[in-house]
Amino acid sequence: MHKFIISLLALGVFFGLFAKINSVKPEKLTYLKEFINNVKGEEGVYIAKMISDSEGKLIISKEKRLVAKDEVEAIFNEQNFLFDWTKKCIFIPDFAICFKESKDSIIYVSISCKQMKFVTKKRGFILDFDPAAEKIKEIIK
Amino acid sequence: MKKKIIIALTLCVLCFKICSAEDVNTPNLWAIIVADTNDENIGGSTAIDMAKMEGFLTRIAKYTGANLKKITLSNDQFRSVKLLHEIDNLQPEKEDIVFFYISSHGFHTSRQKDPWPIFYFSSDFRSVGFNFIIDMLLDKEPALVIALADACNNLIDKDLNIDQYGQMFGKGMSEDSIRENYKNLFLYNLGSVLATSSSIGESSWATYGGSIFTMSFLDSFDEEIKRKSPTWDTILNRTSDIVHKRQKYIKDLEEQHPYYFIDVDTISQILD
Repeated sequence: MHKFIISLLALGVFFGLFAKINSVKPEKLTYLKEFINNVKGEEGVYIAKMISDSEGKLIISKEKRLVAKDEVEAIFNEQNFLFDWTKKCIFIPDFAICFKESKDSIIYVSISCKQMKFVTKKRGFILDFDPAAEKIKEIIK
Repeated sequence: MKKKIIIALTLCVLCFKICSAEDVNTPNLWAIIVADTNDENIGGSTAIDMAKMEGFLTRIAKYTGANLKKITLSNDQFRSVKLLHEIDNLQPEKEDIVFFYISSHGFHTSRQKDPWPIFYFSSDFRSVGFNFIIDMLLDKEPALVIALADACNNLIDKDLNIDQYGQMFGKGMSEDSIRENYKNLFLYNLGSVLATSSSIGESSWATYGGSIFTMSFLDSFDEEIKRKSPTWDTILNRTSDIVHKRQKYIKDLEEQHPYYFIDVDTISQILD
């Protein structure tokens, strides 16, 4: 009986903490789906390094590498991202993922922050890709 | 006649002094709360952190009787120059408490020799080191300095007792005992309590319910305040435990380990 009460208390603490963390429904998943939908079917997906121009401003390098279709699909997997947790890291992009057709859609990637910033004409949002950090680093580098 | 007037005036001054004796002895709680609420990614979390910290300060003032003098810097006020100006303007007396809290982006550089993060102010593209802020606060020489930072401490190479948690100890503790505990922590501790949410090289996590370190610190404090003889050491040790426990919910999450430095003497220790 004593153990049962302790277990109940432990469960209460667990769910109490968990509920506190996830108290607001995240909207970033919707944004990601919208972004993926925008660039769906793109044949030309390129990765480029971010470099500094003469004034020290970060720009996308003209040297671009075409990304294979299966790699693009691997990047866009929803399981790669955290939707209700984020790091308080200063986002400085190392790479950019650009699209041949959807020129207004760009993904900036920060390897050190393990974050991607999805930018469209409408909005920009950051997602942490910690669950798939190794896989994504391999594809991008 | 002149003598009588002088005596009457002296008596008036004495009466006034006696009547306002409580105010004279009541310390001020100078608080600066800073939150990067305009940031598109962490703004929502920092706004929640700020609201929670404001509630925490109200509780401290209520239970210690200290006069709360609070400055909040958020939205367009989240500027490095404004922050430094406000710290510079603080004029605490020897018996006062200075409380500083910030929830923002942060980083660390390999050139740094201190363990603290540097905060980034996107509004004016400037950064200010926590170390610098701590020094400014300590230079004011109040009775107690509490400085807490919830920000990343990850390296940027570019130039630029857990099972005790949740137990029902202290439930039903009287308001007087809680008041006494607040006084012990804030009025009868002299020195400094400095903490930041992550160690060198680590990020700090934020959620839609607020930042992990801030939530954990406040939970730990609320737990400790209901116990007999609360200490800052226990509060911050437990904070680390709760942060760790919360992070376990998410697989493959990069861990953050709060770093803190406590240098306090209780008044009884000093008198001994």
